[in-house]
Amino acid sequence: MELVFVFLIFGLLGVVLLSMNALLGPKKTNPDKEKPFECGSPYLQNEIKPFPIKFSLVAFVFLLFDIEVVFFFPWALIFKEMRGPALVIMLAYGAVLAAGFIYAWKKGAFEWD
Amino acid sequence: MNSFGAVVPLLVVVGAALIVFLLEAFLKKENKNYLAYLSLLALIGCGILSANAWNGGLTYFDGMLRLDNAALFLTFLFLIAVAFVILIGMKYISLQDANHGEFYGLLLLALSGLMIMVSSTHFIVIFLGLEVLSVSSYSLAGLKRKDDKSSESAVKYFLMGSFASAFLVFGLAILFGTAQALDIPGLVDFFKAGPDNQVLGVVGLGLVLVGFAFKIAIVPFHMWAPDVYEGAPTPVTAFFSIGPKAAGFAVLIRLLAPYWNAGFRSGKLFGFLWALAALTMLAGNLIALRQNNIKRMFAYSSIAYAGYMLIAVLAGDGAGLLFFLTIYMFMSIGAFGSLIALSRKGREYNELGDFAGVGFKYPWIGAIFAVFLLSLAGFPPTAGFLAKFYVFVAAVNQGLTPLVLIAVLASLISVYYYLRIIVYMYMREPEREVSIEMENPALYLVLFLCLYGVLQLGLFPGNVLYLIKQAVAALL
Amino acid sequence: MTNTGFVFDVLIPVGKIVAVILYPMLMTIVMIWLERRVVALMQKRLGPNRVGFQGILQPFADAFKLFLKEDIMQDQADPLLFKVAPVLVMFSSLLAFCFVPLGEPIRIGTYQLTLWIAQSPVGLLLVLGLSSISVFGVIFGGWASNSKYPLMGALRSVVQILSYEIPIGLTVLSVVFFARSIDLVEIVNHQSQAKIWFGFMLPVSFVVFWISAIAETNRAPFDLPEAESELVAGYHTEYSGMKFAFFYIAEYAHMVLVSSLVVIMFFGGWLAPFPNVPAFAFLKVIPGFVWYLVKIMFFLYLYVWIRATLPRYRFDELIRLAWKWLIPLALLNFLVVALIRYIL
Repeated sequence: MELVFVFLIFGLLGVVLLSMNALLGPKKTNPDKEKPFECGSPYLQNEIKPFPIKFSLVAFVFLLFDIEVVFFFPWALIFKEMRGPALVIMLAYGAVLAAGFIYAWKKGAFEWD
Repeated sequence: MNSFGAVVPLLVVVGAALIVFLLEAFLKKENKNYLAYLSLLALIGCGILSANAWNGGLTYFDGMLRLDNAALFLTFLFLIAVAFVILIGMKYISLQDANHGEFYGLLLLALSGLMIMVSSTHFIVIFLGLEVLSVSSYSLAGLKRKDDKSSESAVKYFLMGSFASAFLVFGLAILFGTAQALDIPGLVDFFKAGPDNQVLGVVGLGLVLVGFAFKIAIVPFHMWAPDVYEGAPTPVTAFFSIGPKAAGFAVLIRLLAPYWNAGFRSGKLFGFLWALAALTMLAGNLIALRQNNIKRMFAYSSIAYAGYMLIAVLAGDGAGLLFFLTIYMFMSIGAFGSLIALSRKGREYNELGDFAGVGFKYPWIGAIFAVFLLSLAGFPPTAGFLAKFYVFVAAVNQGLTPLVLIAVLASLISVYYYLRIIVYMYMREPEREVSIEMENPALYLVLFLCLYGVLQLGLFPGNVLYLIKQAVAALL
Repeated sequence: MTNTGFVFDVLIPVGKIVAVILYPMLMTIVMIWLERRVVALMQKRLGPNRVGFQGILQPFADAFKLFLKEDIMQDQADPLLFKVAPVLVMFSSLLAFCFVPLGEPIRIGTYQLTLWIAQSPVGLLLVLGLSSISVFGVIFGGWASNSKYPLMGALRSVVQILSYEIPIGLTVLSVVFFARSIDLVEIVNHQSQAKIWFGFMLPVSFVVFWISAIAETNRAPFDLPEAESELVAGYHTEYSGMKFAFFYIAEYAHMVLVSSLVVIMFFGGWLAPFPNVPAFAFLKVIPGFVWYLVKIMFFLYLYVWIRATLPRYRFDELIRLAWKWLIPLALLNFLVVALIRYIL
């Protein structure tokens, strides 16, 4: 119940603070102020040009890892109860994880380009 | 019998795939062939283990994975197919700028997906296998990374495939909601029970069928097939033409044959599939007439073949289907193998015009190719005739005579475009220079084996039919 | 043991909610002052010392100033996302505090006043999950600004947070092994029973977690997303007024949150130090809440200390550190801990 209130209050807080700021702050605008930031010089390009995203592969590898780590959590919780097979199964699972990791590493997913 | 042995063949394949991936990252470019040998070794190991499990009826994971004889027979089929694909691909990938060791690893993973698909009667596991298969297939299609068509085919396959998977999962959700079961016996019991809730159940089943229809390329869910077949590297195309199709049909017949027997042979679903089968055969063959690219033509021909196989499913004829699939594997891999034979470094000869005069310039390859084409067209004494014959007879016995008439008509149409290639090979003057890489022993081995298979199964199919009899006992 | 009435039904919950809002804000204000003063002293400068005693009111003045600033949105920005982003960042940071226990329950007669709003059996995952929602705020903000510096900052930030999330997950696991719970209160209770803090039992886990935590909060030496010498101010370059303040507060709230997690998981939360030395038993007189604050302040000070000491990493070094050092180390550590736990 308290959580619901917290949700509402935080949401309200955000809206109230932002709108108060809008009310209290000055509104003196001019065309230059509305331009994207460019260290004081005239804006150099009008839209964002395509540019290479470094380490985009990292995002894919992350997906795998994060999901696999999530699977570890319930396992770690009941690790003591199911002694024998738990370790072996997770070692096999971890081996697959490690194999993927080494593969990604060797293939240069973590290099600059 | 609950035994860990049921998982071991699968583990061998998956383990080999992982090792291949790891080695691929460490091996030098010129040593990539070792990966092929390793993969073949794993296939042989898996084959021996599966052979030991024959008639064993092993199950594991509370019956989620069951190695009945049907599953084992199909596993053998896939093992042979993947071994053939590896053999015909070894030289090809280095010639066609696709020399990535992942080829072998992905093939093994796809194989494991196929094995999972056919050795379960639970739809969640089947779906799991399907996804393992699909994801590997998407990457395989894009193996020629610098080739536009290959990339196009990978992306198309991926988009269409994910779309189909979404249909499948949605259908499964509806089925689970209405039938409270996702294993095939449970579903059949639900449909047998009576007409309550069946509307929703049939909707779910229909969506599942749509999902599978995408995967096995049945008209009107076939749109991806020609582009994917054309763009993908040829050995991969050979794999696509048999692997996913066979597994999809195995699941369909496991699901539908009991359903028909439960008294739904006059139901809406049956009529729906009946119409699809007729449409698939006619459309596939008619569109194939207009193709000048051989790979595209084979794509449409494989769509048409899906139609013939659907007849087997409609007739509930498991033995006929397995026999058909076996023969189709030899014909299809043989035909694509012949296409690979007609290539050299950086160049493949896939246009119809390239084939003019090939029959005289390269008499052996021409002759072998001609046999496969005749078999695809269904001429006796090749196996292609026998395959269609068995299925058609079974269908007539089940009272599907109109459908069989359409099928015969369609396969008459197909004779035209298969023979057209032969006509080009033997009765046309060469229009352009065709020079091919001759040294490719692994490929010739596969061509020979496929030729042997096509002729053996066409003349003396007894042994295989005996095995199929044993396998089908488990299927139905 | 059910107490009802106005006090218990209304006053205490409302009080808690107010506290959970004020606590991160106050900590933020203290942090800003602390950071500026400490960094200044370390660099032989004075830092803010005019507004109030030793400049303690300076952050309040700053906040008030931001409140009265013009709220600029440049004309090419995506209006909706631009407005949503700061709220999202702040919201997720603050919300996580609902699940962070600040101390042991205080007994008032028959009533137990718990120093947390909600105790969740998956509190640890919940807090980690909530804190990583702020990634969306960052990338929304960077994208919606439609300007090059914010976009680059946002992309860097996302890669960085993604990369360092994995070592965090893997090291948290080793705590879960021993505590056998992912309930934050239970984790502390377990350390109280075991009479040893996990930080001393699992030093590698702690170190990896702490390094990753610094990177998660985009702080020096991993403050690449807002590297002011290259990217002006990173993903909030185009923000002004209260929206900028939201990003700012969220960053500090995130630091407080991460410090709380470190204290709870590795340093016994609200427990008094030296639990197994009888001579120090008198330390238990001091309430747990105070110990908790002292520990948190130590880690916040560590943040500032590190910032004043270490130079910034280059971006490729940053990713290399995560994937080639921390993740293998975390995996190895995970394996060793699993084996030890298996034998014990």
